[in-house]
Amino acid sequence: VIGLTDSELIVRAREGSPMALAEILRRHQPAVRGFLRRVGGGAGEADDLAQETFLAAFARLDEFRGEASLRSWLCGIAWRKVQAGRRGGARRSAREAASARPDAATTPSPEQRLDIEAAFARLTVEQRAAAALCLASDLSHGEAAAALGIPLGTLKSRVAGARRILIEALEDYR
Amino acid sequence: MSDIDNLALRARLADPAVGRPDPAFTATVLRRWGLRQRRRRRLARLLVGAGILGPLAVLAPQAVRSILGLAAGPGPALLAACLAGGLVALSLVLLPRASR
Repeated sequence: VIGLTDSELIVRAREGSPMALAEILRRHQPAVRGFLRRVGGGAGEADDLAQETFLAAFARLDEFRGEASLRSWLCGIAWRKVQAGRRGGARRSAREAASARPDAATTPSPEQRLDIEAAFARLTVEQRAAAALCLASDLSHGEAAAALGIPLGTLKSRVAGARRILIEALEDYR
Repeated sequence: MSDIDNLALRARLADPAVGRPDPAFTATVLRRWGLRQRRRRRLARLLVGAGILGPLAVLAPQAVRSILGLAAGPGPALLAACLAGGLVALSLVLLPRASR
C-alpha cells in the first residue's frame, strides 16, 4: 500500500484493509500531531487529540469526498476536536497553560523550542491554527480555510497577523 | 515579506519532534480502532439476533426454544426478552428511515 495515492488508500480503507489504515496513519500523523501541538497543548494532550482525530476519521471515511486533500480533511477534524475541547472550559484552560510551557521531553533544541513556544503563546488560538497549517505545515490557504471552516479572506488575515507577531517574537530570526 | 523570509520562517517553525511517524502512535490508534470495531460487530450481531428471534418468538415460540436449546419452561420470560429485543432492533432500523 506504500505506493498508493491517498484516494486509493481511502478506497482500500473503506473495504476494511488494516494495511491501508496503517499507511494513512503513517503518512499523515506527523502533520496532524504537529498541527495540534502548534494549536496549543502539551505533546501528550495533542497526541490524545490526534488519536481521537484518526478514530473519528476512520469511522467517517465514507464522508470523505476527495474535494480537499486527505491531510486538510484530517486537520479539519482535528480543529473541530480542538474547538469542542475549548468549549469544555476546564480543558481549555489546561491546554492554554500547557501551551506556554516548552515540551522538554521532545525537544531536540530546548532554546529554539522555547523561543517558538513563547512566540506561539502570543497568538490567539485561531491564529495558531492558521499559522500551524499555512506556516508550520504546507497547506495552501484554500485548503487551510476549508479545514478550519472559515472564509479565505479571514484565513489570510489570521495568517498575516500570526506571521507579524511571530517575526516580532522571534527576534533573532532576522 | 519576501519568499526567502517565508521559507526561513517555515523552516524555523517546523517541528522535528513530529517530523517522522511514530510506530507506537500508529499501533495505539490501530489497536483502539480494532477494539471499537469488535464492539460494534458484537452489538450488530446482538441486534440482528434479537431482530430475527423477536418476531419469530411471537410467531413460533417452539422454534425459538429449539434454536436456543431450551426444552420448555421459561416461556413468558423468553418471549418478553425476545420481543423487547426485536422491537429495539426494528426501531433502530425503521426510525432513521422515517426521519429522512
